[in-house]
Amino acid sequence: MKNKITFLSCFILICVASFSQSISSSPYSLYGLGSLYDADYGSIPSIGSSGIALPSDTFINNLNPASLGYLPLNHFMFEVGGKAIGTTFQSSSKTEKRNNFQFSHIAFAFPVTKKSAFSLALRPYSSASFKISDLKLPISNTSEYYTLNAEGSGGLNNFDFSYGYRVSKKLSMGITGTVLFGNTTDERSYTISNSMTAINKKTDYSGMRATLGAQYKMDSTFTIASTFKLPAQIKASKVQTVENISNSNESIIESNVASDTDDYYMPLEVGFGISKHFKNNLNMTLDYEKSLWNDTNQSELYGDFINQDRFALGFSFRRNKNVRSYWDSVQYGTGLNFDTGYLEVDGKRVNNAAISIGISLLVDNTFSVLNISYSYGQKGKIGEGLIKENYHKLSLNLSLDGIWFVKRKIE
Amino acid sequence: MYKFILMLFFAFAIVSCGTDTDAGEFVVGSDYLAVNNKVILIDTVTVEMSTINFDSLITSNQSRILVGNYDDPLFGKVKSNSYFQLASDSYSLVSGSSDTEATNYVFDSISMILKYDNYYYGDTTKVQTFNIHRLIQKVKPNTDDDYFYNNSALNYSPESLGTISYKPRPLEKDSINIKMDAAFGQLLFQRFKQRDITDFDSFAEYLKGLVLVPSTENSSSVIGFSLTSKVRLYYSKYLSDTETSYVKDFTFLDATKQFNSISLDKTGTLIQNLPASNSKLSSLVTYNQGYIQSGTGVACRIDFPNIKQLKYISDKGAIIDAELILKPVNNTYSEKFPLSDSLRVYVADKLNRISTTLNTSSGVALYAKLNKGSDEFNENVQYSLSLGNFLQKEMLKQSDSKSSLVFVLPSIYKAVNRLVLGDQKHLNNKIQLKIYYLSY
Repeated sequence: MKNKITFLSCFILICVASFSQSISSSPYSLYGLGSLYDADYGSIPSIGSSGIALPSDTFINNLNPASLGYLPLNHFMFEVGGKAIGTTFQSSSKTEKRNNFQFSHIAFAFPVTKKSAFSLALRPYSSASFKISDLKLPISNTSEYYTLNAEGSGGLNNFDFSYGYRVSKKLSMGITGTVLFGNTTDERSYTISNSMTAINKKTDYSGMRATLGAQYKMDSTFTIASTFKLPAQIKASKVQTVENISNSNESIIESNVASDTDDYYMPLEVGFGISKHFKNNLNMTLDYEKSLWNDTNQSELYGDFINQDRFALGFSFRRNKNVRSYWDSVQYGTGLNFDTGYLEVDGKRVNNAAISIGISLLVDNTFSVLNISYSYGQKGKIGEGLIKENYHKLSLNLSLDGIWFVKRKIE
Repeated sequence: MYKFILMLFFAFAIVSCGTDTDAGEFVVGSDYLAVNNKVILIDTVTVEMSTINFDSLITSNQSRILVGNYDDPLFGKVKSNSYFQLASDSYSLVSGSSDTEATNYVFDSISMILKYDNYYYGDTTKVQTFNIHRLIQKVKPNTDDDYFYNNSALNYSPESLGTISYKPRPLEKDSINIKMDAAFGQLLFQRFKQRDITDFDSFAEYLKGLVLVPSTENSSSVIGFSLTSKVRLYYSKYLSDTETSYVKDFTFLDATKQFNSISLDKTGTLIQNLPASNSKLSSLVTYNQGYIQSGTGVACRIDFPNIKQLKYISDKGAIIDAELILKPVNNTYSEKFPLSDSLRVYVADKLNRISTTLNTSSGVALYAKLNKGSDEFNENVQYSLSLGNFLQKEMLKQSDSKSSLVFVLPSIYKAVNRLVLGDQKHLNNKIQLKIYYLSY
């Protein structure tokens, strides 16, 4: 027990330390609140990020709060994850490779009653890291050009409180309250004619969002589920400094001026999922999610947003229920994910498609599992003003399960 | 197993500290980049041009004897008289000599030696004539201040003490020598010999000053001479059979007692109706041209009547740079009438009262600089001035008052160079204003 606590605290320390280090730089981070992190818990990354209909019986299922209704009593679950991503950026003229390591999430879940449980989770939500060097842009309606240098950083964090309750043997329902908070900085410098103008902007964001979820067991092998992420308004306010240097001038046009800026709107997102067991050792999950970005009337400040469709399909396999060797307990998973993206850049969608495989290794004789998954994906495309990102992603999720609140009979 | 996992996560945490650098070469959606911060180039703002005339310019203490006249086809008849007081570093014929020896001194001759200072304007291949006259009043300002102006004048005696007709060679030769009237020299010499002149006061009382007056017979150039010029008195001492030659130099010891009276007869030119100094003559009535002339106080004024409207372009925006391009009118300059390398710029109010030079925000004076790269059609012969700071302030100014810019040549107080600029409606040499505006 003592061991476990030091072990846990070590983890937390590492996580907090690496939290501040998590940087993901993408040309698409320019838009919206930045590029979104995908932080799925347990073995979900290996099954194509599908699993709205999966219960939280061996790990915390972040896709649906209703899953918490299946959290076993007296179990305390802890989940932490990280990712290593190698991305190749390709445009029609050049290719660049970047590696990136990031903290993915930290979460706790504990049962409240036999039929209900509560969870807390903290994860990075988005990264607004981007860099633009010496980009030559035309001044509209003229034959002249100016040069832009820009660098973005920061991002938003996501803090979730979830509660799930098993209403009946078949139906479980849940709710998540999400707090989004953080800030982004955007430093731009314009070289126009013989002048240089620097605009440094820091934008603070904060907002709340609710997610409703339900899972319904049609029979012992087949579950259907749904989630509703409600629209939300993320309040934004900025502090900006503008400085100008030219042949005739060297002045601060505005210095740390605070002002409101256009708020960011999150859409209604509706998800459906099914989970089906075959022959007791193969499980199939299939999810579909629709995000109604069109209705948010997002300010053009954030870019052009369009309705998004997401499809996820996954299979997981475990050799046998009756564990005879260690490898009998290992779960294998594979999946596909396709996402039309919510961004439209110069009238083109930024699609994302990925395939994934993974294994879940049991740690000792508890419910604790180390999930290792690998996925390969492509985002965007070459040409038409877009950049193609080919990424290899290695996810490491540790789901720890402690049986707490039970007095040990033998010390 | 725990140890293995622990190590794995530690390794993970350590490597997460470093990520590859982003060279920033990948950009998507360059149109979107302009949403937040629009860059606009405005080149349609009205620029008004006019010609003004300063009533007076200080021409004393400029360290140049400017003498000559020429008929300018565009500006009229330009003429410069140069007035000055002379002085010497000693007022005895030979220092340390006794009175008894004075009787042995004999006057030889007197000359004025004028040293070129390399300034010239006009046609130096033609003969130029001027006369030396004696002032009949002291070189003392009439005004309350201590300056002489381009329109100051002193009375002088009509008889000439010396005259020269010469082809100026300001770059090839270093001086000209003008033989002065011997009777004048003899009298001056006698004053010294008889010790009537013993110090500066008695000298200045006798010879109040001289003026160089160009003759109206030939009018071709204006030449500058330096203050190292002098009047030299030649005399000799006879003792026994030996003869020793001496000279006494009268020089320009006090530059404040030398000034040039520069006048312009505009009759028959486009600017002959140039109004009083607090008014202006619009370029619309002078063939879309603005005029500048040093020495005579003709200057070009530029107004930006609509600049305040730019603040309505966006909620928050700034003029981050602006360039004014002034083009000399074709065929108004040549080797004979060269272009100045730069123009001085002053900020003035609507009555042409100058408040300051146009400065950068850190207080350094700004000049309109000549682009020398000339091509076949002289399309690139232009002066360019950076005035973003000025226009930004004008745009944001709360009061109704508007400032103008007044352009003059840097040598305004000591030369007669001139320049003709085209306004916005000029056919070939339009003034251009480019304003770079950034919304933020």
